[in-house]
Amino acid sequence: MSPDFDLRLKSMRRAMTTVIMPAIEPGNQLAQEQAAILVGQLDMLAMQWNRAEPYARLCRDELLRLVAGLRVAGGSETKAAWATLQAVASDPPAPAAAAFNSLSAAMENLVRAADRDGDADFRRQLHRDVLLYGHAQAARDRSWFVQCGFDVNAAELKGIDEILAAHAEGRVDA
Amino acid sequence: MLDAADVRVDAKQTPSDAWIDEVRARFPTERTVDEALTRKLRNRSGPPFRPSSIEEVAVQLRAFFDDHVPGAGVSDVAPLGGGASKEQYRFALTEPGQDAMTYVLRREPPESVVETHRLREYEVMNAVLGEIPVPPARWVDPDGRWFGRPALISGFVTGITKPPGATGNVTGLGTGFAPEWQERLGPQFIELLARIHMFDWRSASLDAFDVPTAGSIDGVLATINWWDRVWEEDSIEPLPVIRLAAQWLRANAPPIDRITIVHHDFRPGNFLFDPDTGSVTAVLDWELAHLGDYHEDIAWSLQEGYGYRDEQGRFMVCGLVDRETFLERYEALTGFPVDRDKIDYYMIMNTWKSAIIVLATGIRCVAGGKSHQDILLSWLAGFGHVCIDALTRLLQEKLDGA
Repeated sequence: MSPDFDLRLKSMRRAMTTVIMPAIEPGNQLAQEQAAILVGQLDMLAMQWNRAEPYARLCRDELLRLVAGLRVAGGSETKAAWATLQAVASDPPAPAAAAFNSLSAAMENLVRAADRDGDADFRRQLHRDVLLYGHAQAARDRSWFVQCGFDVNAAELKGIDEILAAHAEGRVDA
Repeated sequence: MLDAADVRVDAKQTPSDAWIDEVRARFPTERTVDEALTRKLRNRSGPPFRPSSIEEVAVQLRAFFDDHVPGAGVSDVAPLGGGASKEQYRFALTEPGQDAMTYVLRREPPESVVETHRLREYEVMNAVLGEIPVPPARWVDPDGRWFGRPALISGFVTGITKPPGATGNVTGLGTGFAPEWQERLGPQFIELLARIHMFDWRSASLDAFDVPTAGSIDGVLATINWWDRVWEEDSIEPLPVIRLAAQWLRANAPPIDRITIVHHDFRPGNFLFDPDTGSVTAVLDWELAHLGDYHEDIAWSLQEGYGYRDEQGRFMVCGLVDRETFLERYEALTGFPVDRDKIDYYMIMNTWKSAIIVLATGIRCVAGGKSHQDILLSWLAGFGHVCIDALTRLLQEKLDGA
């Protein structure tokens, strides 16, 4: 297993910054910019690679929690979309990232169906629940990608390790 | 290098004619927007992006000018950085009897983070030339006959996108302007936006654009269809909130009372300025321009990702001016009322569009190896989660207030 991921990523970064980037022609702006982003991507991978699986499990579990709280009512399209979502939720595929995607697709389908023939009360509940869930998921994803540097409110974000620890302990503030 | 056979993302990566027809029927939008999006889908199963050598680009340029400007000479071809969307090369052109001038070739990659029509960009840049500082767009190859893919050639304008030593992320996002630069650039930024909106587009040649009906919501629905279609065509990871937002936007679309040119990406990174005089030398990136509601443009500039909070906690629009000053000055310059409800509506629409651009189209380009800027697009996707966060917050506020 040696050299491990951390060491290899570190050596890639060193090659980029000490050998490859200085060798880029000063007039080649595109290559300079892409090399700088590549270094940024390596730094982000170094932070994420050994947290990716627990992070995917967390995201899957939070989506399952959203599904478990729904009280669906509506016409045939809504009922059919709900049945599909329940089927995925009862036997989610592995790995966790695949389960998350399958659940998200089924949930998106339910949002679409509810717009066509969902009961008004259910639609309202669904919209509120999806937005609450979406906001929490976005907060997690902002933490996951905070190293990209796009977040003007980065100071308000929890660290990924804190989020993962809360999930591991069964706390719902993950 | 990525081969076409390596790209097996999902069924959308090899769309059938029937699926393309069905998507076009479900999301009716402007003629040339439809043309650009349909061309993207029809080419999707083709090969990934392959970088052109400088010599290949030079050969294409020479062939083009042999036909269009006989006797002209092309030299000094070099790649330009910056743009996330289109390949860009600068080159020198010597027309008969004239000194050499520098030009920029903007060529579409096989797929781009925003799929747009070169004829629209060419027309709108020519329309506002003389009224707004823009690079002169002199030639267009709308169907890629000369450059393999659609392309535009414009004059090269000198200037910088951020002050020397300023902080900032890729493509001008989050650019930090010191107070000195805020004073120099802030008033020009607002004035230019006002001039774009006051421009008399009815007297211009904008045949590639559909004109929305004043007092109606049809233009808003065409815009929603445009981006809803992009999500349908490009998304890889499902996001229920994107669907929900589309439903809300349709249900709450406000009529367009005054039709103006909408630049659609008016922010730092998309204008150049002279570092010595502080004067704006060019407004760039007109590819998303359309005819619509000026509130759409104002709300675009107000997005959090394009600005930052100063030491007093005030949000600085595009890093240049605080929000209330921005809106008050705009109203004073144009005489157009700024309707806060419409601003709220277009904040939601624009945040939704931004999320679609970086989380659907950007990632689709990367998955297919279709762009010259794949690494930049996979980086930009991080911005998408900031957009989703803002989108859910804005929609929650609307639902709570309903």
